[in-house]
Amino acid sequence: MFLQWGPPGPRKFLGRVTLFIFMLALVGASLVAVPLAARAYADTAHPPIYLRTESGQIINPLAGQNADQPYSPEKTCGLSGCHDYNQITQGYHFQQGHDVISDHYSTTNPESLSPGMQGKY
Amino acid sequence: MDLTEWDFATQFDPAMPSCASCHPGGGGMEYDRQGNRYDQYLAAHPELAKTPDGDYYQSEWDKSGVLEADCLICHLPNYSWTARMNQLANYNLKWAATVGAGLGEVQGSVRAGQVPVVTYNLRLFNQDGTVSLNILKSPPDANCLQCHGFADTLKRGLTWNDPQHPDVHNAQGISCVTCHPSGIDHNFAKGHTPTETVRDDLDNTMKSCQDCHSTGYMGATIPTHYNIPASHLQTIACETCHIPSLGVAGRKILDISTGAELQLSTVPGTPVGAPGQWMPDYVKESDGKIHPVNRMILVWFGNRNADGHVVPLFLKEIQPAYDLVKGQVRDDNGDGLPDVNTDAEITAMLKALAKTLIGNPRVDKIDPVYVKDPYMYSLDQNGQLTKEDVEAAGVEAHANFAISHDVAAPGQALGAGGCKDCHAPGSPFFFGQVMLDPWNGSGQPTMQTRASELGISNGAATFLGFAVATMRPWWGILLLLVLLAVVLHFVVVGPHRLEAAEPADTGTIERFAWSERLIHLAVLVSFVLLGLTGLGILFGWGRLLDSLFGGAGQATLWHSAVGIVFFAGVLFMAIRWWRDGLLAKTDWGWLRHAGGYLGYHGELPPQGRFNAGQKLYYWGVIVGGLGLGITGVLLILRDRLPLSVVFVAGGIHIVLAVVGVAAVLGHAYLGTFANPGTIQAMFTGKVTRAWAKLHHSGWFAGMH
Repeated sequence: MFLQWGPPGPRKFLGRVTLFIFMLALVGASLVAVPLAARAYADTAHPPIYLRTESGQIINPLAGQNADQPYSPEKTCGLSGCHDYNQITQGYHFQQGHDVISDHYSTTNPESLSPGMQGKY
Repeated sequence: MDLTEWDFATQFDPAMPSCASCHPGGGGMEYDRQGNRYDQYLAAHPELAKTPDGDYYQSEWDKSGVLEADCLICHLPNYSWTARMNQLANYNLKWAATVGAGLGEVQGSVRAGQVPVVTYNLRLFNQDGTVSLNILKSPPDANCLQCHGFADTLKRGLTWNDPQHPDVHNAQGISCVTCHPSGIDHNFAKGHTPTETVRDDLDNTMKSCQDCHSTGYMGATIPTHYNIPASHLQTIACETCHIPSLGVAGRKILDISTGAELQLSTVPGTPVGAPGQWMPDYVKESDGKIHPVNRMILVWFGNRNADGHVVPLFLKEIQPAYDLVKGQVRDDNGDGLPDVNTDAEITAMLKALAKTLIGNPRVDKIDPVYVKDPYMYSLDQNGQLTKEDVEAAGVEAHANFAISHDVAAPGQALGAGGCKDCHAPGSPFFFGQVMLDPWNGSGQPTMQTRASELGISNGAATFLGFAVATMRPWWGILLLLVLLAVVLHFVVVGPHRLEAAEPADTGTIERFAWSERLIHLAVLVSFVLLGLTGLGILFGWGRLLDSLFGGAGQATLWHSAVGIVFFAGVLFMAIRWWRDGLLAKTDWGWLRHAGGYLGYHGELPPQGRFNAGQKLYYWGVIVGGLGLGITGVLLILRDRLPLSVVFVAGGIHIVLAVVGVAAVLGHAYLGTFANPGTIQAMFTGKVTRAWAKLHHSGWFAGMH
């Protein structure tokens, strides 16, 4: 018969203990590794977010909340704790010279009011 | 730009979407110059829409909302630029982000007096009302190209993500933000932009060619450039050779002379943005290097104000003048577009502008001008047309847009096929025709060569091309022929052996003092080094130069330094031996029989310290050596000299050098194998009396 009843001999006992410890270690590693892997995957994906109106209210068309209102990038992406909207929009892609626009910007080309497209001649 | 902020966001015409279609919001699209939000401030002060305040003039911010910075333009794959553009055209500013991101649809138009309503795509929402969007930290190239593809195609025929015209970096998976990164401040690293003025402080902050290709970053190839002269690597930018052509037509001419924006492409007969091969223009820029650019020609009207400053006129200021005279402006070149090119047409337009500018608050003195390369035209006090050079007038008649993309595979780079790629007679690099004036008085374009564009005369470019490219294979053949000739002479004619010495002819006599031997040795050793390095540079023996000198650059330094020694030695020789080199009447008899080297066995006229052949060789060394020295010094100082001078000096240097090497090979043979007993004079200074009596009987008699 494949299975023999009765207490195992010393060698078999040792083998079974070893196998048990190995299985325990495998389960334990999985318990640690799988969440880690999942978290790593989750780190590369943007978390789910609520869209918000320009007054900061949640847009949830499933619940009929502000379902006909456009979403506001500033209030959605720039929500406190997420992205610093004010710092980001200082970049020249957004400002295009608007932050330094001046009627006295250039003495050689007075028709140009800034170095960017906002105020450029 | 002559646009108000509202125009910036909403003004469309059939050929061009509004500026805000690309400019992603925030900044001046959200807040006025005093920091007020447009919609809130106009709602509180509705009268501003009727004032000439550029932030509020004829605007509807209170109904349209503002354009907040739309993050998803860059960070959401498949963002719809077209959907955004359509919302802006309907004045639905605060709805544009919703539609562009594909979150929902919008019914209604602010422009039509309606209040738009959103209908969201419910499938995008999770049960808790959140949305899970595929927002990427690094913008995909397709998102950058939504805006930059259009604009940069106009400026420089840019292609990226285009399998028909691939850039090797693009093909290897390099993305826009790899080379143009930014941090949280979103100030993307900029490249080389000689013309554009946005944030010049960020120019050249992106990864340069050297940043990757000198370190192997991301597996970038580290080139050896074995066969490229060091001077080229110092004076020519990487892009010049590695972007030999573009595959999509860019804008070559922007003409607003008729009050409309007319454009012609870099590929005649091909629309801007359509496939078409063309070569860049080349200019030497402030870094001292030659860069490829699209030299876009600008044709425009302006007004010279009282302070002398020329202010460009708006399209809407030019058009009324053109309407007065358009019956007089013909299409002289048959391209279907009117050309303001003849003196009569220019005069008519300037006179019309002088009328239509009356009462214009932007001008304090009516003095219209017309700018078309290479002149700025105006009317004098008598109403006669005058013109002055645009450089002197201080106006821009062209804009050089740097070309940095569309890098070709190494095997297609200029120079991969050798010097002839650029220097061969008729090569497009120097001799290709580029446009200077789009329509001259006859309606035809005035062209110039690329060499002229670089300030190089066609003659200088042709001469250097002859020396470097045309003659390159023949230089090697010349040297081989000289070697063959001396071998043949030795075999057929044989050495000039001494007869058995008479008892009184035994012993030695001093021929050269130690100072003379020293000069000769210095010139000999320096010439050998110069020949080795010079021929190595000319023929591209990169590996040899690398193993002997540590590279072509080091070999060039050796060549320059040793050249100074050679030059000094030649000067010493000129001073020391010029009397011995003077030709005498008896020399003609020697020359007539070629000194006996061609089989003549009769008696030759007595020769002095130098025979006739040596005298001719001496003067050849002096003239050639001085020529090499002078041109060599000019080449050392090449960065300070006009390119035409450098080219001519280089051509002369190459010709003299190769002919000199050939002559020295003959000289070495005659001083060794052909005339036994000669070479010892170079080391000991002495020759046998028998040798002296045989070869220089006149000198021997005088010494004896």
